[in-house]
Amino acid sequence: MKLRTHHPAAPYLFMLPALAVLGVFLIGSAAQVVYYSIGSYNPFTDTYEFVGGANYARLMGDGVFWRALANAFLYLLVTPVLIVLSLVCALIVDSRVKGSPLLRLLFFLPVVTPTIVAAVAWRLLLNEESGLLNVVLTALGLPGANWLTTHPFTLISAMLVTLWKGFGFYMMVFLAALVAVPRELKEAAAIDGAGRMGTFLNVTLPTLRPTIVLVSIISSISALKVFDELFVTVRGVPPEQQTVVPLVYSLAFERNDFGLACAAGLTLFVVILAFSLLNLWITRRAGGRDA
Amino acid sequence: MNGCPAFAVVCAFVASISLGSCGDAGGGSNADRADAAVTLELWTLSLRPTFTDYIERTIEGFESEHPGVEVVWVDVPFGAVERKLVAAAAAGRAPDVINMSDLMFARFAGARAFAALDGVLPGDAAGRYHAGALDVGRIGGELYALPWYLTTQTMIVNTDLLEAGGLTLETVATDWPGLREQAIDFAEPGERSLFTQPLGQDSQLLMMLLADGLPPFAEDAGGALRADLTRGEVVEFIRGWVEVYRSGALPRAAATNGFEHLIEVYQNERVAVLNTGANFLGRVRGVSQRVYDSSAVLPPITGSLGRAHIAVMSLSVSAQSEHPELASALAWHLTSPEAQLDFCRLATILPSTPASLSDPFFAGATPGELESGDAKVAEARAVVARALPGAVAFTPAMEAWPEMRRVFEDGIKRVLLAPADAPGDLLESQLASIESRWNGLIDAMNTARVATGGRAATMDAIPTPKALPSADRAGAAGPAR
Repeated sequence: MKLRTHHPAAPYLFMLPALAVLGVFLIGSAAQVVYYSIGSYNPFTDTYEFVGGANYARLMGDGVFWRALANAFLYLLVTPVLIVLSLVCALIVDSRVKGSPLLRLLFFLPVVTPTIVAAVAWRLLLNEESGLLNVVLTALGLPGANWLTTHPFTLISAMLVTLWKGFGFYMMVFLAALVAVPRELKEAAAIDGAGRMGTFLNVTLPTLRPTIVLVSIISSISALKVFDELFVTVRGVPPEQQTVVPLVYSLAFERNDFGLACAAGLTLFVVILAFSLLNLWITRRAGGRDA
Repeated sequence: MNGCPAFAVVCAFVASISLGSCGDAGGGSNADRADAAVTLELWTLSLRPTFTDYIERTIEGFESEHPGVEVVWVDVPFGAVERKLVAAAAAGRAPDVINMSDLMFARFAGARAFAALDGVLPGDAAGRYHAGALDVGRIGGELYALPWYLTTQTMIVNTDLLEAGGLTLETVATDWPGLREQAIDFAEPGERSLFTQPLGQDSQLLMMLLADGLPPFAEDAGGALRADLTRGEVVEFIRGWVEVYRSGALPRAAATNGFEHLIEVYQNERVAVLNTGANFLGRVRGVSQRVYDSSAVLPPITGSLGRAHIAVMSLSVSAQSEHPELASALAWHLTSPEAQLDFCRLATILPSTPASLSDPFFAGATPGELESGDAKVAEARAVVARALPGAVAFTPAMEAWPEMRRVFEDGIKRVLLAPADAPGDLLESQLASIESRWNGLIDAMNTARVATGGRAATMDAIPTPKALPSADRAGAAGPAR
């Protein structure tokens, strides 16, 4: 049977549905964010007035925005902890110790727990007057902390939820990557006298580098645009204790200031983009040196 | 790794997309959806499934009076209505009739989301509704909302906890200064507090100021409305509350958790006294029968004016509605004295129509309630019904008020949560800052009003002792005794 010649437009036709979805829901929406960020928009009267850079000027002069951005960067501290914790868990599960399937299940369970449920449970644990954490600290003779009301404990509380919710997901990413580590390299290292730590540092870790970069970028982006954990766990704290996305939500849906909200969202996009490129550049340079 | 920069760009781009939900998707009008001659869309707040039968029955009554009109009822979760309304309005599909709380209403009224109702209502609103509740819907002289159901407060006391702290129903104070004083000795931090009140989030401080006859506003020499938060008596009033909070006598959550912390601390027997809606008692019974059994109901704690505060749930007609007269008729129908009386029989709420209050239902427990052990809820209902005729919505009728409240709440939270060694008088500096921002908001509001042909806000918008309706006017008919 002779194969029919492909029509030159066929690949593009196959891509068309996906491109249409992307165009409407991704590119179109993003373009609207830009459009609204340079205007004053009232959805109720359907009026739009071009204001140029006025929203950005207001944003740059707003101390609360800068504090929120600083807090977003502070939130990045969760990223290295998340990477180390999930990698350690992946190594434990991958080592096929007794009960590792159960461990895998337990480690992954928080991922499928709704964030709201997790945050409410953590709220109870972190309650300043009757929560388990402060009860334990007091029993140990240590002072309790205002986990839900005082900066920076509020951020730490939200980070705990992020950590608990997130490490199982990244553990699965690392597990998938560990499968790809060539067994012959590990065996060669063992024959050469490398111990378990030596094998890990000289064989496993370099092989995992692309995955670590990937996890680092994804988790950093997630940390910079954190919302759910803060919104539920420490809702009600003064705005300067929040990060940028809760501020964007408040501007748009609690204050109807859509122009300023879009300007803040777009500024966060630029910051995340710059941070991600910097992250890549640093890791690639480090990779090049190692090579 | 060569693909990674592109991947980073895409990741960052996707991150920003979650923020792009304020788009104008265009979309059809309400009429496009109609199979009937006219379709009206009604949004209510968190009434389904408990009140499904009642709402559907009431809607059927309206439809039978208006042949060819179909009402589509959509119940929206309370916490989601603001963003859903924004999204619907941006798509040109705002509902015809919308249920709002008094604070939400003012904010959306300021965005010109609602149609003026004067002239399109089928009857005389002033003669039908509680005057204080009706005033909440009047912004800049125009009526934009009809009051629906109301809640006012009652004092709920856990007698067991009260006695554990050395107080009784006879000795516990029934005013705020007295309670604040007793709270210091009563408190065992982390264990029990005499009372709690939302001070930061959902702050009741401004309402309490107004209820004490201390409006945080004044007129300047030209009669224009100005903020006046740095006046000595206002500062001292707020300082009293800040000090009792910072002494540890109140639950820590009083600064950040708003109304939601009330039920939590009361049902956990950590707070002995609450001043809150009568409907709260039913919720307590659902969670802890023991706490319910040890609860007693007393008249509400009021300020020095002796007037209880009412929270108003209202119905507005969307400015995007293509049938404003029919939509107004629907709102009128839902808020009729008969419909409200039926509603009150199903929930511990109060009607905004004084005529409904004359029903014996508001005088005490019905035989059915006595049989089912609901006498305490009925007692609470009777207490709040007696307070209603003189009750006032201590909510300035200004579209800038929700934003002014938010500015105040942010500032007062900073004071309440400040470390013990905070330098200088943080309260005074924060109040000065809030006052300055309030004046900016008042100026912006007045500029917008004048630009659209309205009139600038004056002290008339503020519920001051001079401006309050008399108890007779507020509620024409009191509950039957």
